[in-house]
Amino acid sequence: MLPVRQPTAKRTGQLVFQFVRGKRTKSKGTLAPAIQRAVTQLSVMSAGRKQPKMLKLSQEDYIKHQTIQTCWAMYQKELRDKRNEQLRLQYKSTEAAMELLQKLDPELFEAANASEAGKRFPLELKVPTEFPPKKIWYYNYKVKQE
Amino acid sequence: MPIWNSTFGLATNSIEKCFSIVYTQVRTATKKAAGSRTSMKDSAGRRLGPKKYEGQLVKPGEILMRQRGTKFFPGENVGIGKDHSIFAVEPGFVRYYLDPFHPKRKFIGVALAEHLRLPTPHFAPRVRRFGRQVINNPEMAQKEANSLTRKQYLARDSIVSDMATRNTRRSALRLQFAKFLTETLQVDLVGSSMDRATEYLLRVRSSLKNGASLSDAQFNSQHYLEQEILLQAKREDWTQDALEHDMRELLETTRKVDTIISFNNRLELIGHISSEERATLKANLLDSLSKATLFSKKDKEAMEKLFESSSKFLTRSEEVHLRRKFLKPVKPEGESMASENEKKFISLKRFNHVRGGIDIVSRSRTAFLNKL
Amino acid sequence: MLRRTLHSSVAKKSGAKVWSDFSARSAALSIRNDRIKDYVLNDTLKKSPPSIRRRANKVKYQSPEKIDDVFKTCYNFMEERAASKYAELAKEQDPAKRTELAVAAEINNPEVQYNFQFHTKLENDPQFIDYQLPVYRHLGRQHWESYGQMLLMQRLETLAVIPDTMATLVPKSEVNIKFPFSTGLNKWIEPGEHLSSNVTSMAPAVKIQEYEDVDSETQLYTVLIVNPDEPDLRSDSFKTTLQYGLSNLKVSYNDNVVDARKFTDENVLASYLPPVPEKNAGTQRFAVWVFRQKASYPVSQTSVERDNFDIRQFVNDHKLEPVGAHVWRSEWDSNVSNIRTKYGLPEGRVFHRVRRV
Repeated sequence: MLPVRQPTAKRTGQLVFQFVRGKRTKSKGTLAPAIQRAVTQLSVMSAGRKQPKMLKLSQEDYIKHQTIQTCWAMYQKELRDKRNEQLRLQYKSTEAAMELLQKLDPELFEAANASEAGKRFPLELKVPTEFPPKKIWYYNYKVKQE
Repeated sequence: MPIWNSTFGLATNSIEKCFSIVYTQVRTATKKAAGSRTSMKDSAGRRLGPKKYEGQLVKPGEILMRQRGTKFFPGENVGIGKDHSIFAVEPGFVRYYLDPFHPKRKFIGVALAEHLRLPTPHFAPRVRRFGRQVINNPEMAQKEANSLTRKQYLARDSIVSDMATRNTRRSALRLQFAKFLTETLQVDLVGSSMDRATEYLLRVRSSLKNGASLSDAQFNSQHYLEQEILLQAKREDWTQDALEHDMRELLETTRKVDTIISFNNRLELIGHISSEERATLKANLLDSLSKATLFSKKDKEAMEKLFESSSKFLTRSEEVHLRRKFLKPVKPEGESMASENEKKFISLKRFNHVRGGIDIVSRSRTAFLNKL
Repeated sequence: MLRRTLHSSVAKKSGAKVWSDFSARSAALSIRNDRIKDYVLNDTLKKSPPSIRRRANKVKYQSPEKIDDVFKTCYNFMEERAASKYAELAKEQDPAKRTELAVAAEINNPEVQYNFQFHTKLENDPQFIDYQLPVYRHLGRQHWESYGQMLLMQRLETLAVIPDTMATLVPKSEVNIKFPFSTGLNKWIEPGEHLSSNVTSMAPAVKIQEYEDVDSETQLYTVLIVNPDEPDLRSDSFKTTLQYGLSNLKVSYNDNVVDARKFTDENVLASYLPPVPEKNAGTQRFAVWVFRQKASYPVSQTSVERDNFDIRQFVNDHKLEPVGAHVWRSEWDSNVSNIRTKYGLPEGRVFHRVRRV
């Protein structure tokens, strides 16, 4: 089986492609025949048959399963409620602060409320340093083993 | 124009060297021969539209509206045909109306009386017409009453014969009950009270068979017989005393039967067994079963003897359960595997689900009930 | 990555063991069978579920991996929430909120769920499903609403029982009927079923299952069975007949099948008149209506007129609240004449097959 695009290496190291008309451009021969057969068979099968078999649980295990499901739902709900409550409180205190600011210093209030459309990252958030690092982030950082 | 000239001048020059392009346009004389494809296809009007108007008196089957599609929907007492024409199904007065439940639809209906408006209020009872007359001629009435549909006619013979077999089986059972009462239990029930007793027992039996509890079965049967007596008294204008006498007799009979008779779990009559007796008998059986062993044919026969009278005090499921537990066709594997020096053993092939292969198991003969 | 574990601070906490304490709780809140209870609540390593009986199936069955560990964590988590509900319940005075809390405290209990899901709900055994407990009532109502109630309302509407008898129904309690006396048949009737005249020859037993909080000691019920399809030749229409009437009935949450053991002659508004449709008069509907009474009212059989019975007027007069209904249908069959002679009724008329103007 010849690959369709056969690169020929010249002395210069330049790659030259030789195109042949009529050959299939998509290579199919990369998989082993047994695996290829399995892939073909799977592609023919409908999606429903490829689903994992439904678990058949005994009555007792089914009750356990239900208990676990409801417990998880309840736990998630608790987390959600907690988060929502925190957000609500944050919003409330921010609102109170802004109202106070409006009373004390309307100019500052205006400045604080000025539109920031088109601004991508607030530069104010960047901490100014005297000696900024040359490498910003160590992607391959590992904890030192002691 | 200089750029134009320069670029095109170059091109024309080079092409002119090879070809000389001659482009001549020819316009021949043409004339459209036919008209548009869709003309000339007009049909006569279909005479659509209302055929009856608001308030007009109609008879069933009269067409109220011819239409394409459901411009009007069929309302009350009105039907719709396959070409959506609306027709009356009851005699009455045509009404064109709107229904708040379908705000985008217009309806045509027929009101049964002139003063009625449609739609009828949502929570009010429907206004209906019965529309049938009594057959006054007694012969014709009898003929009509006896007429059967084809389905009923075809089914009748088998129904009648089934009923007859049921009745014969019932009367045989009643005779059997009467025999049991007089011969085995030596009860002196005479005449009507014996009839009542056997009928009562028959009803109790069928109730039990249908899954009612014993108290429910007894009550249902007794109530049925009481109602029968009450109806008979009403029919035949009994005096209060006669009625009371019969009721008392019935009550006494059923009470007596309840105290002397029980049903075993095969629904056969046996002498009465109280619930305490049942419990003690059951405990005794369990005790002797737990002591018994099952190694020889003798053991097996002894065990079966223990179960002989168990249908009297065990329920069907209890009996089956105990039989399965103590008279296992094949003993579990922990108990009776073949030892090495045993000569006569039976080897079995069995699929091992855990290993995914076939195991060969050798069992001693005592493991099998039918080989003891 | 989505972490599918409870946070350790949540998982480790374990409060009071409310679900294993049966000093103040009903025994119906626990699984009766010790083996099943042990399997559900404790470690099940190397054990097979008791509900699987056959040896071959036992060998084949494998419960999901680590289900016990996860279940234990979850059980503790929910039990802790239940404990807080019980604490709230002890302080609460409002009866409606008390019921709500009692339901919330037990609804996630796996033992309660097991008892409810795997035992019969219609003919309940109070050992397993005790409708006196708010949880079981709540579950029972959910189960009814999921199918039975919808079926009933659909049948009532398509058969036009509403509005032909009563204007409408807000279903509150489950009503079931069966005819145990006439044939000994032990079958609950589905709403709208066609029944033969033999089956309906004796009065039905009516089961009134309440799911709401009612005081079963004082609450009284009225049961009416009406036939809105009796031909009325004078007006060429139909009239309503009262077939059966019972009033001042008492039922409890668990023992609620109304038959002759539950009432005396004093409760009978109108004695049972079996359906005896006439030939060619069409199918007749028999609507069973169950009402809650505001108060007890005196009953006399003579005061109620069976013929031309106006059920709406009756309900208005006695201040009844419709809570449940049922319906069956009857048609002429060859046994009707036997029933008529049995009840001493006159011979039925025979109508023409064809309807005419």
